[in-house]
Amino acid sequence: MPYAFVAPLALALLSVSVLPLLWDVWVSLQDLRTTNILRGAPFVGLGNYVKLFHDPLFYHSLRVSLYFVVGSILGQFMLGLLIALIFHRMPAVARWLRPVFILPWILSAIIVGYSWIWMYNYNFGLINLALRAVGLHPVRWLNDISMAIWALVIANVWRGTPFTMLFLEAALKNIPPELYEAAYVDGASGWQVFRHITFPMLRPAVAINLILVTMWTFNLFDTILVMTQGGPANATLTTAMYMYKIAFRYGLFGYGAAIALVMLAINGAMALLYVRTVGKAAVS
Amino acid sequence: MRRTRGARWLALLPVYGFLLAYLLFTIVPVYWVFATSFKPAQEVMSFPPTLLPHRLSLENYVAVFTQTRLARGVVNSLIVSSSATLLALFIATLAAYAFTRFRFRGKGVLMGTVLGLYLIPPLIGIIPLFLLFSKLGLLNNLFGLALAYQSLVLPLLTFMLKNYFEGIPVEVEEAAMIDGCSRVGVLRWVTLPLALPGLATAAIFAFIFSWNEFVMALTLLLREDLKTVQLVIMEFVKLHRIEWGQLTAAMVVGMAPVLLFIVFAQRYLIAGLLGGATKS
Repeated sequence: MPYAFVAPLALALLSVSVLPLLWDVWVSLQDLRTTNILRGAPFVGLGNYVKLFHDPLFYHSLRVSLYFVVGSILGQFMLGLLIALIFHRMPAVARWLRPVFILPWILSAIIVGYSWIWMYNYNFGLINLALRAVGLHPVRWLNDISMAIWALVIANVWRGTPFTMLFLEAALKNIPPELYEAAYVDGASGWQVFRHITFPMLRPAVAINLILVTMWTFNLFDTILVMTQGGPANATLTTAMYMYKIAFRYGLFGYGAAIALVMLAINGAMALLYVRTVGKAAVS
Repeated sequence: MRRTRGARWLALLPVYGFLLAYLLFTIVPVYWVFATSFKPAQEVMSFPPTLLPHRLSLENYVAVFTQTRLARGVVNSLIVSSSATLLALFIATLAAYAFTRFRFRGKGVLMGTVLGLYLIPPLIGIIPLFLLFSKLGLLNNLFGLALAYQSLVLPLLTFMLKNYFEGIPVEVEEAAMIDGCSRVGVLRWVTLPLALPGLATAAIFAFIFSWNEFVMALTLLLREDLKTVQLVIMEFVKLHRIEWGQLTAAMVVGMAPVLLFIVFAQRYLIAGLLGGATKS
């Protein structure tokens, strides 16, 4: 009986998720390209992986990913935490602002991407309009090698902050109010309460949130594909973007699959960390 | 509490200042899209740009619906999103119910796999998915895309519904079974009606995910007439010169369902945003 209930799930996930992942391994061992896709690709063993570890662009992409992930997380986490703390103390304000604040999180990558391209537009964008208004020089945000990655980070912080905010707000709600009451009765100050009650109680949720957001940001490339496609001059070529470009722009499926599997390994390590952290959070 | 009212206001001033700044940060990009979409073509490209449209015009909206494939894209997206949602709801409901109410061999492995697939992005498998779909002749098929979207939504929906079913007391079901109701009957006539808010959340999520997705659609749909609304929006940019008035109008159309959900189903949205991520 239970098997009849789970069979559709097992079947669906097997065909569209598990099988493609396993096939990825096989593809990564071949020199599969658009040009040989019909007559069969030569088996190259670990050739794609060897090539990958000698590919300067791959290391470059890891560095870009690092900037993108660290920048996004710093912005998204600090803003999200601050808003969650404020909302927790001011429920009336939260009721009005929350629906507006979550908007960017549920817009599509296409909408997010083009909205920001339009904001960053050199002549007609609002940001340069503001810069000109205060007498500063306009900036070519997305076409500037040193600026483009940070322009993407800002757009990504815009999109991702609502998730951290909601997540931490829910975690704050789970802290028993008696703890606060006891602390205030004992004469603790606002800062002491945050330092000795709120923050320690929040720590597991913070850890889980950071891991999830790190994974998502590392794997994210939809807005990058829309906004810069990895350019200018590879300045925004994250590893995920590189993988997509190799496979679908240059038609090197085998090599792309090898990059995907290295990404999978990185994700796997993060996922293990996630499971252990969730486990610990459940115990304490 | 020891402080006077005036002093408290002063202390809260930075907080309100911060909230106002963040509010502007959040809405200005969306506002700029809306404002541009209602400007006549000439005003869109006038320098310096106008903060408010001088004259509200619907010409961009008329143009995108009469001169481009946007209407077709909306229809395609509705087909893909609703079929993906129905399929995912059916599959995830059954599985989530089994995970909450039955003990069976392989349950742990299966649940672990679902969690793993929730954490691992479906993007990783996009190359073989493309190869698989081309072998099976599922490229350029809207229902094929809806099938591919199951990899995106099923793990999330299964955990969401499992959390919801766990909140429904098992005694209600036992009472119905004593009265002679079968397992499937119980699920259909007792549990599902009680789980309606959870099902609504799950449905909204599956719909939004499928409506918003574009990377798989870009990879698996190659025919012009099958493009979803997100892909049609993308096409405005491939042209030699971007018509920002029309592009922003198409973007407003593209985000319409999401805006409707925020206005009318906010409670479900917030429950859903957290439902998949907090518990597991």
